[in-house]
Amino acid sequence: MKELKMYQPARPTDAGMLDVAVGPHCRIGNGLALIHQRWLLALLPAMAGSCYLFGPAALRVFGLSVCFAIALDLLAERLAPSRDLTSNWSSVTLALMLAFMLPLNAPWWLILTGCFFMVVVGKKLFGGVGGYPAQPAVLSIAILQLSWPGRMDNTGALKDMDWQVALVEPLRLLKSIGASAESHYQWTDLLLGRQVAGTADGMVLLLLLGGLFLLVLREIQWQLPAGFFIGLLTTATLLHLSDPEAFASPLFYLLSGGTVFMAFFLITDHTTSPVNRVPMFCYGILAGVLLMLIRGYSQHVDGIVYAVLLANLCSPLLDMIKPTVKGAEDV
Amino acid sequence: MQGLLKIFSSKPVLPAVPDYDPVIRQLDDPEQVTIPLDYPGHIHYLPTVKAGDRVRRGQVIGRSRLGNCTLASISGTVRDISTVWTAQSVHSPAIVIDNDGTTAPPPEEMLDGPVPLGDPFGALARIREAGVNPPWRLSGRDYTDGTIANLPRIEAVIVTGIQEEPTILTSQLLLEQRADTVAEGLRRTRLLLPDARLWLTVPEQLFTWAETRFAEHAEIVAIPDQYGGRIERELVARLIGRRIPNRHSFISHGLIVQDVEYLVAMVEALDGRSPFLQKCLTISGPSLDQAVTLRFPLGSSLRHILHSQGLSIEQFTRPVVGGPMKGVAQYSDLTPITYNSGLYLVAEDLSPFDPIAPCIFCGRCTRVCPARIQVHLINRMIEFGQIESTHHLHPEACHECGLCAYVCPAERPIVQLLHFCNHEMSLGERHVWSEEGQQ
Repeated sequence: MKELKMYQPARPTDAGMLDVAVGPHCRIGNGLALIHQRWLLALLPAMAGSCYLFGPAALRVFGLSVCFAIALDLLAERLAPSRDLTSNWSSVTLALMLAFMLPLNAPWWLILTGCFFMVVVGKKLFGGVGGYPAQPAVLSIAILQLSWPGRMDNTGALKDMDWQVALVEPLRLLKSIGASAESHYQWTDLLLGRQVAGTADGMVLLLLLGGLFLLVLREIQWQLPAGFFIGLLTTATLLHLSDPEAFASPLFYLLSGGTVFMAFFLITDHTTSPVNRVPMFCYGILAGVLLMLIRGYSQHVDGIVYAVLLANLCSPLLDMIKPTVKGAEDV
Repeated sequence: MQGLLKIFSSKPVLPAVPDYDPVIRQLDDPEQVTIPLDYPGHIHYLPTVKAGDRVRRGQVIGRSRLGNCTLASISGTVRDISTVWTAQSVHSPAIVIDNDGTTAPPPEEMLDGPVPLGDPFGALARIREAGVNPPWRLSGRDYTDGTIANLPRIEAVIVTGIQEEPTILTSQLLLEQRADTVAEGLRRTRLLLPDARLWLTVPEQLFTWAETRFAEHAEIVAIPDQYGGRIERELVARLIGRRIPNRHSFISHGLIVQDVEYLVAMVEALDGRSPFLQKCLTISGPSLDQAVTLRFPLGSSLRHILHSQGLSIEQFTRPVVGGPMKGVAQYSDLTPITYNSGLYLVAEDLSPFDPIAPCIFCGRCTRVCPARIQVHLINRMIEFGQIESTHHLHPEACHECGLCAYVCPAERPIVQLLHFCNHEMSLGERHVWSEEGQQ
C-alpha cells in the first residue's frame, strides 16, 4: 500500500480498461433489433395460421417479401449509408406486415414493387426507421392498390378455396347486398380466419393473440387499440341504428377484414403514432371513426389502408396536446 | 437462448433496493488520505497547513471564508498540497496526508465539551468547527456577503432517512441503528428552528416503526423502494407544495434538505463527542451478492475501499461513485471519496450496441419523465443541431434524473443531449436564459 500516490494523475494503463461515462449506468434498453424481433414474434401466430390454411402459397408470399425487403434495405444502405442499419430487423417486420395485406396470389414482381415502395420510398427516403411520417407497409399497399387494382384482388386469389362460407370478402358482400350479408358468415369462421382477406390479415384470433403479447410486454400502449375499438364500435353502432338495412352489426365490422390487424399492428407503429397518452387515445378513436366512415361511405371495400394513412398524418397534430411541463418557468 | 429470453422478458421496472448486509463495517485507516478543498456549489476551503507539517486526527487543515472547516481525518504528515480530480470530476486543490502511524487522541478531546442547548450561535460555531455540513445541503456555500444576508428564513427542513438512489443504504441503516441520536437531532432541529416544518423521509417498510419513534418530532413520509418515487426534486416539490427552480439551491428558498448521516454528525459535534471524520458508503452492483456498507476516514481513496473488501478495480468496467442513475464512472481508483455515499460496481460491458442509434419515436422517455418534458422531441432537435427550436418545450425543467435514458430501448444518450442543450443555453452562445426569464 505504500506505493499509493493518489495525487499523481492516473497512468494511461489505468484508464485503458475503464469506461468513461455518466449515468444512468443500468439500462433496460436492449437495442432496436429486440423491439422488431418482438413484433416479429407477435406476428408469428398469424403467419402460422395462414400457412396452415393456405399451405405453401402463403409461405411464398412471406418468404419473397422478407427476402426482397432485406435485399433492398442492404442495397439502400450500401448506396446511401444511414444509421438505420439493416441489422435492426425493421425491414423484416415491415415486410411481413406488407405480406399480410397482399393477396395470396401476388406475383413476384408485385411483391418486389411493394417492397421497393416500402423500404426505399416509405422508409429510407424519409430517413430510415423513426423518420417516416406514414407506415411504410401501408403506404406501399396504398400505392399497389392504386396502380394494380386488378392484381390486388383478394376475392380472386381465394376463389378456389374449399370452404363452406361465401367466397367473397365479407365487406364486399356487405356493400353489394346490404346487411343480409351477415347471414352468409359464421362468427367462428371469421374469428379463425376462414374469410376472404389478405394473406394473413384476416386471422382475427391469432392476431389478437400477438397483439396481447405486445401489450403484455408494454411494446405497444393500451390506449391505441382501446381508443380504436371504442371509436370503431361507437361509429358502427350509430350507423347500424341509423340504417339497419345497409349497415351490419358492429361485431361484423370488428371481425371482418383487417380490423384487428390494424388495431394492434398498424396504428400502434412506434414512429407514426403519437407519444403522449391522451393523444394516443384520440388517435385510436380517430382511426376507428375514419375506418368506419371509409367502409360505410366510400368505394373502398376494406378501408384500413386509407384510415391508417389519414390517421398517421394527424399524429403530429394530436401530439400537440401535451401535458404542462413541471417547472417550466424555472429559468 | 439468452437472446430469446430477452425477447420474452417482462415490462420495464425501475431500479429497486438490492439485498444488503445491515452491518456497517469499520475500515482501517489508509496509508494516505487526500482531502479536496473545492466542492460543487462554489465551496472553497483555504489550507491552513503547509507541506511537511505534522497534523493530528481532527485538526483543522482548511477553512472557508465563512468559517467552515475541513479536518484531517488521520494523523500524519502533510505530504503535499496539490490538485486532484474528485469523484464529481471537479479539478480541485487538495491536501495529501501520509499516515505516520501515530495514535490519535480520543475523539472526545478534539472538541471542548457539549454546547449548551439554548445557544444557536454557539451551535453554529461548533458545527463549523467540527467539519459537519451546516444543516443544509452542502457546507460552506461561498456566498457573497450580500447573498448571505438576503437568505430567506428557514421554513422547512427535510431530513432524508433514505437516499435518492435505491442502491445507497447508508441513511436507512443509520436511521435504524442510531434511532436515538436521530430523534435527538430532530429534537434539536426543532429547538433551533421552532417555526419550521420538519419532515423525516423513511423507507416504506419502516413507516410504522418510525411513527412510534419520531412522530413527536417530525412528520414521517414513507418513500417507495423504487427510484421513480425517490427523485429528490420531485419529492421536495411534493412535500413543500411548490417547485424550486433547478438552478437554485434549496437554501435560497428557505428549505434545508439534510441527510440523516449529517444529522447524527451534528448531534455528536454539539455534544462534544466527535467531529465529523468518517463517512459511510454503500458498495453495490450487479456482480456483488449483497450490498455492503462501510465506514472509513474521509478522503480515503477508492483503491483503499475496494482493497478492504478484497476487490480491485481491474475486475470492473465502471466503478461508479454515486448510484446507478446519477453516479459518475471513475477513470481511476485513486479518486478520494469524501461526501459521496455510494459506490456502484459494474463488471459487464455497458456500452450501447450503437453509440447513437436512431430514435424510433416510441415515446417511452416522454411518458416516464417526472417533469413531463417532451423528451423525444427535444432529443431529436438537439441531435440535428436545432437547439433554438427547443425553447417552447422547456428543456430547462430537466433535473437529470436519468429515467429517460434508463428506459430508452435504443440506449440513446438522452441525458447527455439534454444536458448539452441546457448548457448551451445557459452559456448564452446561442440563446440566453436569464434570471428574469427568456430573452
